[in-house]
Amino acid sequence: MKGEPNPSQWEMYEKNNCVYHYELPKSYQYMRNWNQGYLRWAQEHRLTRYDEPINCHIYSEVLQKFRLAAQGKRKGKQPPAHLRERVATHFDPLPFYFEPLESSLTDKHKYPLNAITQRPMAMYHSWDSQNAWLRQIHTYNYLYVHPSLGAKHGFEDGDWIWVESMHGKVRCMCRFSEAVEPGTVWTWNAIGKSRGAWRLSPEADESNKGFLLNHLIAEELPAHDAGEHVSNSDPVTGQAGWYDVRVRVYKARPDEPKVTSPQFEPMPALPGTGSTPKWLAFFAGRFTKKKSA
Amino acid sequence: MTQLALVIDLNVCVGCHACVTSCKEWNTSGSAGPLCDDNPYGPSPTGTFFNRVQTYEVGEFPNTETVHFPKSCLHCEDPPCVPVCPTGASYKREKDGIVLVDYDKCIGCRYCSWACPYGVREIDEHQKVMKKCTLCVDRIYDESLPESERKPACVLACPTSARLFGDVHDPQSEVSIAIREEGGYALMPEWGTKPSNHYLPRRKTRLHIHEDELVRADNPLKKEQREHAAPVDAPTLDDSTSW
Repeated sequence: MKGEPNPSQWEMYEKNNCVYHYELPKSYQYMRNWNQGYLRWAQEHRLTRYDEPINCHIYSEVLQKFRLAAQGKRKGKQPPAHLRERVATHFDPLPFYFEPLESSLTDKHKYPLNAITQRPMAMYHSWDSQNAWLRQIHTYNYLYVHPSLGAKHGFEDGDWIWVESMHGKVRCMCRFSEAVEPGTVWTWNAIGKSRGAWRLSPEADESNKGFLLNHLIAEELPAHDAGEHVSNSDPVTGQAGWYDVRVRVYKARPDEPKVTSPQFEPMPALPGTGSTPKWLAFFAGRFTKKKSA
Repeated sequence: MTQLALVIDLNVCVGCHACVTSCKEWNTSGSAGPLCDDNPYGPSPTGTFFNRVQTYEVGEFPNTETVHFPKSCLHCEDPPCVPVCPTGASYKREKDGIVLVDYDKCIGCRYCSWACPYGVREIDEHQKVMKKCTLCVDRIYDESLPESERKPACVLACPTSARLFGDVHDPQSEVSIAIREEGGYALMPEWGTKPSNHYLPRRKTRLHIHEDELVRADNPLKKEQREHAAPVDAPTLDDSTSW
């Protein structure tokens, strides 16, 4: 807030138990991004710098400034030469639809499907596969596809299939699901693990039956007119374009091992972490005799 | 006669498994525990859980629904697992209708799990007794817990408040009202077990928009006049009206 330092600060902390509570008038308490009374009060007290309403802009001045620079109509910082056209196109102050950058550089006849991933609710990223209980909820993952894809490519629910993009391919099991848009396939991300990772056995399902779609996604766009090493990201926010990848699926040959691909050398156990127990009986607290009164 | 039970709202359950883990966490450290796991860090881990969530898909694209279905012992009024028990370890309490297992008498013959049509009884391979949901009997009567926490662990953990706990024989309890008003149903009534746990079905929300709600009478865009800046401490007109 603002004002001169209080010489008796310590005493005031002590007196008020280090808590300062100021009750705003009720009319200031709601919708504070648009609440004129609150915004003015907050500015007077230096909680915020401006008292302009905080809006989600439909016409974004910020983006327009970038676009004017790219169009050569604004002095000041300029975009890099090889990205000038990209900025001029994408930094449109009004929202518009555009095809994901990677899709426009992909052969969509060869790779007709979109592939996306979802985080499982019971786990956080890759974490929690080291947790004995949580890994019983998600031990491995399937690629969820619409049954029409199986009918088209000749595979059944639960079959081993290859899913391939222009960057790589992965062998995994499929699961038919009506609740999937027929042109999309999806899976849980971060369930698949490398052999030996997370202190799991090299024979764990996470590595042998679980898989990661990450092998199909690249950090850079294929070489094109904007450059050879352009990041595979959203042109405005820079968010990585994981869901822009296009894939195709086909059945694995019957003689192929029923294990996910790719596989890597098992990770050795970290120093100090040796074997894991064959069974677990977790009990919080201590077994102690009750002291007699 | 009291019959304590759970009501699970399938309309809001998102399948997050918070009830599964909080149940295991509470019960693994109490008189019902420990709940053991086999192969915890190896292939095909398996363990004893009292509460599990199954996920089903219903319908054909694009009219599909994904239903998350948590299932734990339904504390039937006429439980088939009780009469089949050869040692009498499986019993139903008269006081509150909770079905429990006496571990000292249980020999782990698994007869009760064959009898239960819902599949909610599990054998603990290491303690060699049958285990199942206790409705947190050690929580609900524990006077050292604050009253608001004397509920099963799963009910407290659920982030969407999909689980309700109460006496289904009391017509004014939260659970009875939910069953009456939302069409709560029992699972597989044809088995004659009269399960006490009920499930609330999916509900479709139909939004009715009226013509006059689309036009705003006092459009603030039409009055953009900025008032003279008043001192910060002066009350505004809003402050002097009572809410």
